Amino acid sequence: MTGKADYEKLQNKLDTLELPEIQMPAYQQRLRKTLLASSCFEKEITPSPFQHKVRARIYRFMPAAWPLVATLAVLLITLGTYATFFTAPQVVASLTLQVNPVINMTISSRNKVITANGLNADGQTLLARLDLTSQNVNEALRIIADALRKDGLLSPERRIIIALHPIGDSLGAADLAVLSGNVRRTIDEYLAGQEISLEVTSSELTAELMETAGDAGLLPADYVDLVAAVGVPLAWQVLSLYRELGLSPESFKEKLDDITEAIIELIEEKGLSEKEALLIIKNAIKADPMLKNFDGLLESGSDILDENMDERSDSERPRRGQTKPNVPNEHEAEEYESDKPTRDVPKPDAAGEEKIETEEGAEHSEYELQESIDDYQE
Amino acid sequence: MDNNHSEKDLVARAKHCPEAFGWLYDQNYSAILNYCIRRTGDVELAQDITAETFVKALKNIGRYEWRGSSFSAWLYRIAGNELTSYYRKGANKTVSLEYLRESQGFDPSSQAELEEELIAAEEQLARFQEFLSCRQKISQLPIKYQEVITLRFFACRSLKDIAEILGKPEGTTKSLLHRGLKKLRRFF
Repeated sequence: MTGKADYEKLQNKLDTLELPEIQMPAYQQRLRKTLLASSCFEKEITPSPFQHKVRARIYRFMPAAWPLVATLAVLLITLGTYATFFTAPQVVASLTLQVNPVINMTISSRNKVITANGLNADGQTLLARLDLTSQNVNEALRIIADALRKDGLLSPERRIIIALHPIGDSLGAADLAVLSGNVRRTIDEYLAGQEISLEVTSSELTAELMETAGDAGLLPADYVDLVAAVGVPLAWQVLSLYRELGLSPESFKEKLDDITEAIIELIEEKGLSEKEALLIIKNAIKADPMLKNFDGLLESGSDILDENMDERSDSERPRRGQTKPNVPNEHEAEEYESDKPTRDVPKPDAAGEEKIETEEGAEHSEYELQESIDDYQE
Repeated sequence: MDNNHSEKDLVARAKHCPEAFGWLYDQNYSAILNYCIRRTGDVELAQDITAETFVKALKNIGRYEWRGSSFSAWLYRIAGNELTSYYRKGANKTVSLEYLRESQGFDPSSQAELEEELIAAEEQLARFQEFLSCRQKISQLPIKYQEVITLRFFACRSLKDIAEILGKPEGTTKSLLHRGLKKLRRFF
C-alpha cells in the first residue's frame, strides 16, 4: 500500500478493527483482595482541634511568609558562601616556639595555623619539610615537636620557650591565658608521652614588647627571664632602652643578661622601686653607651645609693627595704631624661631638684646618683 | 461536584483508605488488562503486567499529585513503562506481585478457577485473528510507535489523553502517531 489513500485506509482499518474485550473476574478479585490487604496504605492522622487551629494559623501566615523566608535563605546562603570562601580567617594571636630552631605561627580565632615562619635559619630549614598551614595549633605543635625529637633537638640540656601574644583586640587576656595553657599542655603531654625531660617556659607577652624586642634583634629566649622576674610592663621599658638610648643591637643583646640581673638585684635586694631601678640602669647606660664598663657603673651607682641610705638611716630615717619606696611621677622622670644630657647634668637648685622620695619622706637626690656615675667615669 | 473533582477526592482518600483504592481499581482494572492484552497478545503476560501496574500504583499513590489529568492516565503510563521494561529487559516482571503473594498470601483454593479463566480468555483472544494479525505487525515497530498506535486504536484514547499518558505535547504525539502509521503501512 502506498500514498495518502493507503494511509487513510490503514487508519480506517485500525479504527474499525474488532478488538477483544476480555474479562477475568476471578483474577481481578484475587488481585484486589491481595492489594487491599497490603500495608502500603498511609495511616490517616486526624489532627486534634488544637492542632487543627495551629495549622490553620500557620497556613494563613505562610503565603505572606514565603517570600521573606526565601529572601532570608538566599541571603544566608550568599553570606555563608562569602564568609566561607572569600574572607580571610581572622588572625588573633602569634605564637613563637624557640628551642632552637625558632618558629613563629599566627593563629586564627578557630585555633588554626594561618602562617608559619622560621625566625632563624634552623627554623626555616625545619619548616621547609613541615606543612603546618590550616592545622589545628595543637596538632601543629605536635608535628613540630615530633620533627625536633627526630632531629635529636629535644635533648635534656635544651629548653623550650613558648611566647604568645595577641594580635588585634579580639583575644582578651583570659582567652590568651586559655590558649597559652592549652599550648603548654600540648607540649607537656607530648614530652611526657615520649618520656623526655626538658625545661619548658611559656610566657604571655604583648605585641608592643614583641615588636620592641624584634627591633633589637632579640628572640624570646633572650628576655623571657626578664619578663618572668619583673613583669611585662617593666620588661618592655627595659627593652625600650635600646631604642631610647640609641644603643647598638649587639652590645645591648650582650648586656641584656647583666641588665636583667642588675634590675632584679636593685628591686629585690636593695628595695628600690621599679622606676628607681630603671633610672639607675638608664643613667648607667647613658654614662657608658657602649656598655664597656656597665658593671662598674652599676656598682658605683648602687654604692652611692647605699651610702645615701645609710646616712639617712643615721639621721633616724627609715631604712631602705623597711618601707616600700614610692614610684616617682612617670612624667617627671621622662621629662628629666629627655631634657638633661648625660654628661652635662645641671646642679638643681633647692626648689627644682628632682628627688626620689621614699614613702616616709626620706629622699635621695637623683643628681647625687648621676654625679657619682660621672665621678666614676672621670 | 464534577467527575474530576470526585476522582481527585477519591485519589486523595485512596492514599490511606483501601476501600477508595478498591473503587479506583475496579474502575480501571479491565481497561488496563485489555490494554496489556492488546499490546502483548498474551493473556498470562498481560495479567502479570496488569498486576504489577496496580502494585506500583498502590506503592506510589502516596506521592501521586493531582495535576488535572485522570487517574487512569497515570495507570496507563505505569502500564506502558512496565511493558517497555518487559520488552527491553525480558522477564522478571512480577517481582512486586510475588512479594505481595508471599507477604499477604494468595488464596490457593481458587487456583483451578483461575486456570479455567485463563484458558477461556486465551481461547477468546484466539478468535480475534484479524486483530492478532494487526498486533503482530505493530509489534515489529519501534516501541515508541507501538505505544502511540495501541493507545490510539486499541485503547481508544484521544490524542490529548495519549499526550498526557506519554508526557509529551499533543503536537509531538500527533507527529509520532503519523510517522508510526506511515511505518506500519509497509507491513500491510
